[in-house]
Amino acid sequence: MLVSALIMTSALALVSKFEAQLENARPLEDLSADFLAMLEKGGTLEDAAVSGGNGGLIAALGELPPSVCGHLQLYENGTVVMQANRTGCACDTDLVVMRRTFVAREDSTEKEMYARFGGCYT
Amino acid sequence: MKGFVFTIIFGLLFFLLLLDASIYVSSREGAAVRQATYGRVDRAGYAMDDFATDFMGVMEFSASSDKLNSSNKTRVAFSDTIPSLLAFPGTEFGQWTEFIENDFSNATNQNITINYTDFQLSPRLLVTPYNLTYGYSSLGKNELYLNGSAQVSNYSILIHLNRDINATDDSGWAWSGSATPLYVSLNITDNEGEQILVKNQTSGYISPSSLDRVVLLGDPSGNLTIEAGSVSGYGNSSLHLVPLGLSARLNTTVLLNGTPEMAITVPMLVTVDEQQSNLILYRG
Repeated sequence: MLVSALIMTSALALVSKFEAQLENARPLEDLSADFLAMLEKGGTLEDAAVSGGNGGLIAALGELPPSVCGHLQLYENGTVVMQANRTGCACDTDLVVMRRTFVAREDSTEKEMYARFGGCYT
Repeated sequence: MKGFVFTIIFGLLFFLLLLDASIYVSSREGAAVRQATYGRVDRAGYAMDDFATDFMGVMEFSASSDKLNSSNKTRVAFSDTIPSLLAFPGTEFGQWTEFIENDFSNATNQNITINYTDFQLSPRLLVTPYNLTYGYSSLGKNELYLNGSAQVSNYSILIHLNRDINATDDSGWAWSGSATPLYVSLNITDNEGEQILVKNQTSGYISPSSLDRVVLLGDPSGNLTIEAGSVSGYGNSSLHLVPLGLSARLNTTVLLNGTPEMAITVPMLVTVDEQQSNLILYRG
């Protein structure tokens, strides 16, 4: 009986390590990375930085899958210069954060910036 | 006796449960290690792609390629503007690398370094395995060259100039009367949309081992010199463009013999955490 009890206790101790996987961040990380790459290569980030308007960013956020909520911030010299949130939702905590650099050209100069995307599942 | 048998049976069942749990826990720990390793490599790969896109933006340049399997050739296309439109291209390039190594590195908690000393001295892209170089005299892009590669069979260049061209010195250009290994197409327009002909032609064969030169004279000033064939310092089957006092938008397509796996790289060593590579603009 004592041996059985010991075995049972050990088994329960190991079983207690089981945990349900509530949210898998990996697919959202991949989606965030692709989203930022698409925004840079399509010129949306540069257009927003040059024009000073966040309409293009809000429109792009609206194209994300319905199960994803997110917000974008553009940084220049370490400071947020523009922000855009997906309409109709908000993340209490960002499950993933992804950043991507881009170059914004104005006449014969350019500025180095990066975009930060924070996202979660709705 | 019965109690003893029950104890043995339950003991075995608990042992199996224990074994099962142990296997599950160890497999989860293994998966966590794999996830962490893949995550780091993925992050580095993503950063490299990010920097490659930035690089093309800083250099006002893009490159792409596709394979023409039916004719067993590879087509490489470059879109460019010469000279650089930036007022201080060297300074801007330095600021970009500094931004990556400091601001972005700190924001992403990645250890990033870019060694561009060699590239700064000789800015160029390498098309491997063709031994083709697409390069500039400086970061200001005051001269553009494509060095000779025996695999080049065709240069096709669309040139749009920001000046009116009112005269052309094409006395140094000779289209070949018969087929040669090098075919050149020059589709040149000036700022009024007028097409500029070279010896009354836009395309034809030239000798890859002799120098052909044409100078387009801008009004009121400026000129563009185009050299093809055996260009001094670059070898046979080369191309060399020198703008002086004017600007040219270029779409250059190069046809190369064969369809091996190829890559367009920049000899600029980028290190992201423990991953190190030259900047790759295209691979396929």
